[in-house]
Amino acid sequence: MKRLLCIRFPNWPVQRLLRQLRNEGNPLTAIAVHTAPARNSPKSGQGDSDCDVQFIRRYYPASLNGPAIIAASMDAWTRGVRPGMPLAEARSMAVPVVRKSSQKRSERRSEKSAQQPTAVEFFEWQPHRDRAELIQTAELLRRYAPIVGLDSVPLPDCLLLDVTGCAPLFGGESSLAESVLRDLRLAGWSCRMAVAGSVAAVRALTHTDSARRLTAVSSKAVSGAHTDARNGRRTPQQLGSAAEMTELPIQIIPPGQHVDELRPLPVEAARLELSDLEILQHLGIRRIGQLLSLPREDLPSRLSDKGVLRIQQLADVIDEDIQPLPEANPIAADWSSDEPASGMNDFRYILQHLTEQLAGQLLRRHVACSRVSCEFRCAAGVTVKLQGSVVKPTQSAELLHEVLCLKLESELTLASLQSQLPVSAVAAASDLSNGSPSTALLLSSPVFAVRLVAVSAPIPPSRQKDLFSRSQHLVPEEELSSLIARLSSRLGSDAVMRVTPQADVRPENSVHCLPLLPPDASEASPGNLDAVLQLLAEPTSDDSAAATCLHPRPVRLLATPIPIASLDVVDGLPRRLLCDGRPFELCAVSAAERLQTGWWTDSPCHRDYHQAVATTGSRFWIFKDLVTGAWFLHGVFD
Amino acid sequence: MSAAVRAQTIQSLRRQLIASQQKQTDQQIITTGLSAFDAILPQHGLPTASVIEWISENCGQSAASLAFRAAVPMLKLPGCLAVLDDRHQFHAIAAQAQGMPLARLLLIRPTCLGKSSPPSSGSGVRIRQRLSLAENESLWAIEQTARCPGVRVIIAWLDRTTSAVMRRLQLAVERSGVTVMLIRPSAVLSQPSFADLRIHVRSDRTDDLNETRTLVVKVERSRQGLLHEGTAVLRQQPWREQILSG
Repeated sequence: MKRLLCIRFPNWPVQRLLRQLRNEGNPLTAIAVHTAPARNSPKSGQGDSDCDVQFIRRYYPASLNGPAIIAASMDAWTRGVRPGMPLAEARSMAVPVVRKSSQKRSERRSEKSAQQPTAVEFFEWQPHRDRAELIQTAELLRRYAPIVGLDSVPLPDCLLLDVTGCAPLFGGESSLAESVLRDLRLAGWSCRMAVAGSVAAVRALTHTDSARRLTAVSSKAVSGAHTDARNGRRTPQQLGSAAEMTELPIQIIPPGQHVDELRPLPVEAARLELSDLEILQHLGIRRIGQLLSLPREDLPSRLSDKGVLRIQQLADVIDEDIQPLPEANPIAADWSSDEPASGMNDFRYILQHLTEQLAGQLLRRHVACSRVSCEFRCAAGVTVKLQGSVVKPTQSAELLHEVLCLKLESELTLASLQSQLPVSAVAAASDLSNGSPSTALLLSSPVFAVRLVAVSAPIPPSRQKDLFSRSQHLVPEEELSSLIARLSSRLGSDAVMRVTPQADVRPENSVHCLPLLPPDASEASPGNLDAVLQLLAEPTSDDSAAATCLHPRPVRLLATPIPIASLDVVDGLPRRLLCDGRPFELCAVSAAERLQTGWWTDSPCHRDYHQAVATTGSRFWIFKDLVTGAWFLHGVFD
Repeated sequence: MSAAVRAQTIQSLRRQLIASQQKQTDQQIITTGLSAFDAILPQHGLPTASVIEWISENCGQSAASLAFRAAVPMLKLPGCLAVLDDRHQFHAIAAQAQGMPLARLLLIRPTCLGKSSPPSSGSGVRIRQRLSLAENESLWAIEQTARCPGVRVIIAWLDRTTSAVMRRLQLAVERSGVTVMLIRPSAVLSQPSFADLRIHVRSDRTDDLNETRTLVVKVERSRQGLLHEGTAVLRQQPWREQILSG
């Protein structure tokens, strides 16, 4: 059974900054982090950091008009600085809190309270440095788990470790967690951890204020906290005492019980989009237990696709894998030569050599490869990058070689078509204007070095084959996965899809086509792909289910309905239409089948569909738009 | 040479010929479930590990629907049904109406050919290059899929091709055991074919859509020789897409 460890670093931007200041010998404690002014916003092209900035702009609308606070230390909080506040307001608010009544009480308690509080220091937020520091911290934890990954949501503040099977090496999960906690505290970090059976569970547990455990706090601490509630602020002492009494840095949930542990947690811990959270708030759904008890078939019509996915992950219906961080010592193979390479034959030979080296390293390290990136270094220091993905992690040099060659061939062919010149005469026909050299450079520039880097993944479980079966060497799922990898490499990841029906009256939306291999291979979940391949390849007893559609539908549905000329409409019915460039005389038109969507739909449909038969016996699917009165050809019963 | 010796020689040659034609994979015969159709097929069913051409007299003649209906029984064997939709017009709900489970469907959509969409701007040479590239990609995808033992049936629309491509497909299915069903226009009837079966489908005109529609199916060519010259008449109920036997 899977076991995952999540390490959350609360208030990560502030924590990182405080540690940095401590290392620099600056013992500040009252700090706040704010976004950059609009003119100094981070340059585009930093990828993940852009996601963080966009998320902050959605979450804190004040940041759209100027710098706004995104995080504040406890001392800054007590001085009135709050996340989401404009910087100017925060600066004006950041004055020491002095109340006569509380000052007298604090004077009686300790001298520390009577001291003049220090001013709050404001620092500009650096999202890329936050991410980089988190990735660097992950290196400390490599010895505890084979896979260490970063949280996939914007503004990550936690690390995920796959500790399946690792606990016995450290004397149990609690010993492992305590060892991790000790190492991180020695490094100067404070964190919370949870061990459970799914990514959704460990993340929710670490990202929830321990509200449940506050019920066990003594009444004294509770009343003390409430006394200052009328002023809207809590003193750090009371907060600190309450936290020390109730805060548990490590939570370990026994196998199979994480779904029940999630039920009392708030829905904010479910990693839902802001729009989905607003909808749930309107519906009065506050707890994950209420969310999980909602009927699943209604969810797609109310929540976003990502929201539905998150709920399925919480309920343990869909497996979620950790996307591993690149290792400091990656699996790589290099080629370089003073004699440059050019042309597809040279590239094939080099790639064969390098993929064999990669396969050897994968075997020695007992890991497989799900994605391989290739860098061609051309003259003048220009680098061209390619990426190839496979459906199932593999150790096969042949498959990796084939995938890369197919990708390279299709990219080169497309590049030569996009240029105005034939393949043999392309010269510098690349779009360097956006700073990213295209594969067209490979057609003309010699290549002096090639580097392959493999993204490692756990070796998929091997299947026991039937020795005495007539087709014992064939496993349909594995054959399919190789086919899908080859097709996706050459045709594109969106060219190979599976089909699911959708509850939508509009014929063009009645099916949903999902790529089997997502464009970003990091989004691919091996567990889900295995299930899909099994569904594709293995016959089940449900395969003979009869169609549920009561009305006929054409095999060929035109992407864009073709208008029927008004001259061809006689007595309200069309008598002639054009299909595939040929005219057809219609001799019969059936009664109408009305398809209408609700008024709230984004692109409403009000159509009367008819079957129309031509004199040749051909059958078509036509409709009349009830809004405009125009007739269209939408399908052909091929 | 006496007549008896001659007859013996012919028999042994015939046996050698049959042995040389033996496929590398075990070919199975799967009945379609449409009794009138099975009756005119040479082996009373459709063979696996073969190339089958479905010739449509015209567009809208239900040839593709019949192909899907005939392919459904083959899904009792392991492997998926791959649909190569180069025109990006395939509507999976129609195939589901023929009894095809969508969970077993692998949809492959190579670069969209310029048939149904207006050609992009550019010189004529560049447009022809793009069309040629798109056709090459479709043919490559068909051949790759035909080589994969994880696929049970492929259904693709193929207007024009060369005999070399057809021969490559034939060799691929002999090794992999895949059944390739190609929906082709009636213009290819005059051309030679490497297919194991060539089936011609046309529908009768009907002025009353409330009546049962009839499909006339004829086996034009078979490697095993034609059983007889007859045709099968299949009925298609109104308001329902499912094809029933005559």
